[in-house]
Amino acid sequence: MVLLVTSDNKNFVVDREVADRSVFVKNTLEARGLSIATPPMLNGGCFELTSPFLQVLEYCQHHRGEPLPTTDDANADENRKRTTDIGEWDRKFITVDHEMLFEIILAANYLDIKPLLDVGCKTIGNMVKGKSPEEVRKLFDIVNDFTPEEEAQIKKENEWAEDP
Amino acid sequence: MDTHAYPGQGLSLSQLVFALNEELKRVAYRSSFSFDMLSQLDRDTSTALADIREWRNTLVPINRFPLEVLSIIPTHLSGEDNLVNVSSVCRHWRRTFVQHAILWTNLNLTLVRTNLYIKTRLERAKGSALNITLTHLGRDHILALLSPHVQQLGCLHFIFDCWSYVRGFSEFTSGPLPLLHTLKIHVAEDDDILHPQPMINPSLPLFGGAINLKNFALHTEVLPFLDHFNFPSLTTFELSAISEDQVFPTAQLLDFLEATPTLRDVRIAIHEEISLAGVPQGRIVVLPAAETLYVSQADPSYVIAAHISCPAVKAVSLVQEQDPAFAEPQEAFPTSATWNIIPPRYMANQIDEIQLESIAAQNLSCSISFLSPDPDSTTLELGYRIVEPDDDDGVIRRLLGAEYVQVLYQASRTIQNHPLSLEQLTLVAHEIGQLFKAMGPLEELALGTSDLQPFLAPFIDLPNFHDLRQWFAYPQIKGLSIADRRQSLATIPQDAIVEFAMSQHALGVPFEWVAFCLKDPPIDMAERLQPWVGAVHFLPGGLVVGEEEPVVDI
Repeated sequence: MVLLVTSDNKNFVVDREVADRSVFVKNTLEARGLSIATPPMLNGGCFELTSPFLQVLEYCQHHRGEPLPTTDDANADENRKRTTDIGEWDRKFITVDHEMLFEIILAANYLDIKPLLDVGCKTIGNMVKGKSPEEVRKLFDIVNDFTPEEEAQIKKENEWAEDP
Repeated sequence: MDTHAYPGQGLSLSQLVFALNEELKRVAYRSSFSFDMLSQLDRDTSTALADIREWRNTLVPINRFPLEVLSIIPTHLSGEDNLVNVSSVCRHWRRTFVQHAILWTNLNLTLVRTNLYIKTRLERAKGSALNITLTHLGRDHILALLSPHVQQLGCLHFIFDCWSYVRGFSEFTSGPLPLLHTLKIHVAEDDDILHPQPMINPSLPLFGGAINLKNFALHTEVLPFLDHFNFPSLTTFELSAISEDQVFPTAQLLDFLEATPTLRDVRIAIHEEISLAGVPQGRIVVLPAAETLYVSQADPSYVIAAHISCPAVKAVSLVQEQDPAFAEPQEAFPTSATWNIIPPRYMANQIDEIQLESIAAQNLSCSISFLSPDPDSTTLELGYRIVEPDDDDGVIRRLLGAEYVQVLYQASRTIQNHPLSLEQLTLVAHEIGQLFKAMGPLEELALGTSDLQPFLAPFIDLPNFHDLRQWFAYPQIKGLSIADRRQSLATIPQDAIVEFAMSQHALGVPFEWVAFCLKDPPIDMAERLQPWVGAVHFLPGGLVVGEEEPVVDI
């Protein structure tokens, strides 16, 4: 078992197998030569709240024991990224409001949980797929900050040729 | 987090707006409000407004993402439009995505694009390996733009209607292609029949600089010219050849395979007549590293496969596509000659699956699969599908040399929606009887319920079936399993099963066990079978034999 302490001082005791879903936690424990019950302090400031951490733990619990992605297969990594398919459980898990989704993504990035980071980014990818820039802006409360000259340049870069 | 500076950083928003207004007032006061001055004022205002909006955008939650996380999002998007759209959302996104070279490595040049478009993307890809799809459209100006980036080619996909373009591009890229790992060539039939552009033999192998090429796919409607390719590191080869008026040169294919001993995955589909000119009868090309082999060819059946040996293969699928011009299949299952050649060649070592399939003129498909989860157990799955019930030709041919078979499964799922007429049942039963005669002892005979009749033909009281008894000689069978995910007891010929068990008992080779896996367990069958078999098992409905241990033993 491993004791994990969030930066808002909440304690979570989890199985080592669950904690090891996070490469950050795994490396931290291994670097300190620990195998049982010592708290790595997760106080990096990227996520501070208990709520997203609970979600992350739920994800790690569900996927415990599954093989961790390796970094030596570049093609597999590329293929994994090029798809927007999300498993049914993951899809239900990640069906949360924008704020929580962003927190989960930040937590996954900080804790180095690549599959969860992918699920989060794929979810955002699915949200923006097929949408115009204006629709994407509306979705994420972004305003158009291009000058007319910049917009003209973008348009020009993506123009079709009239003749081959 | 992104730490780039914004104009007015350190000021509050209201302070910035106030400062901007003051600046505008000063500009307006100093100017005489000429047209040029007003235009400049307009531009300055636009720029200032854009800067303020950019600053505002830094505060929205999604822009709290570190750049490396934000950059992941478009990697999950396919399609040019999506990439363009997300790069046009705001300055921050545009800067982030434009700098992320990997996003710009896919270049589809089958569409008509401006030089600026192509140039911009090639620049943004920086030194990354390029994934390019191209046709002959606008070839010259594309070649000029690609010229400085040739060594970056990672994946190249041609869609041409003439081999001379392939040759031309190969010559253009002559020299090392160190990053090229995938080459796909799709050559359609030349539309210009009156003035076809002949392939002039190249002096050097095509794409000879691709010394690290791993994947090669060739889809061609004209002769494949395989003898012009030589890739020493190839692991995956896919060939699809379709031609109505040309003969496929088998010798070229065998030469190519022989020169590529690194191949691990080979898929060959030849939908044209083949020529064996220059191929000695005993020639065997050994692919020492091949793990999967798929060969589909028109008649004559399995000829190419008979010239290939894959000692390390794990999955083999051999398909013969019979000539649709023939109303009746020439050979539903392999001839005994083929049968004796193919399995030993592919089953010398541990193998996961070998499948032989015959597809005939849209009305008949037969397949045999060997499934071998471990070297001591080999399964033969026997399947046949009849789409048109009026087909009255023999659907199952005799199999000789069946010592490789230990477990016989009936692939009933393929036929359950096509009930057979009495004549067809007779015919199928006859063929099955022949099959059984050629077999050695079986570990298990696993049957679905939907088409038990031809398998139990000698024991079913139907007029034509009585004559079939002479054809049947069941071998020793250790276990009989009858399974179906949907059917109940009422639909199976219970008397015939009991008769079958009695017959095996009388022959001195009784079933050691009989298992039922049906929707409603036929409990009374236990009592009826008990004198003739070792044990009767009932498996939970919906399971297939072998998935789980029996729950009730009687």
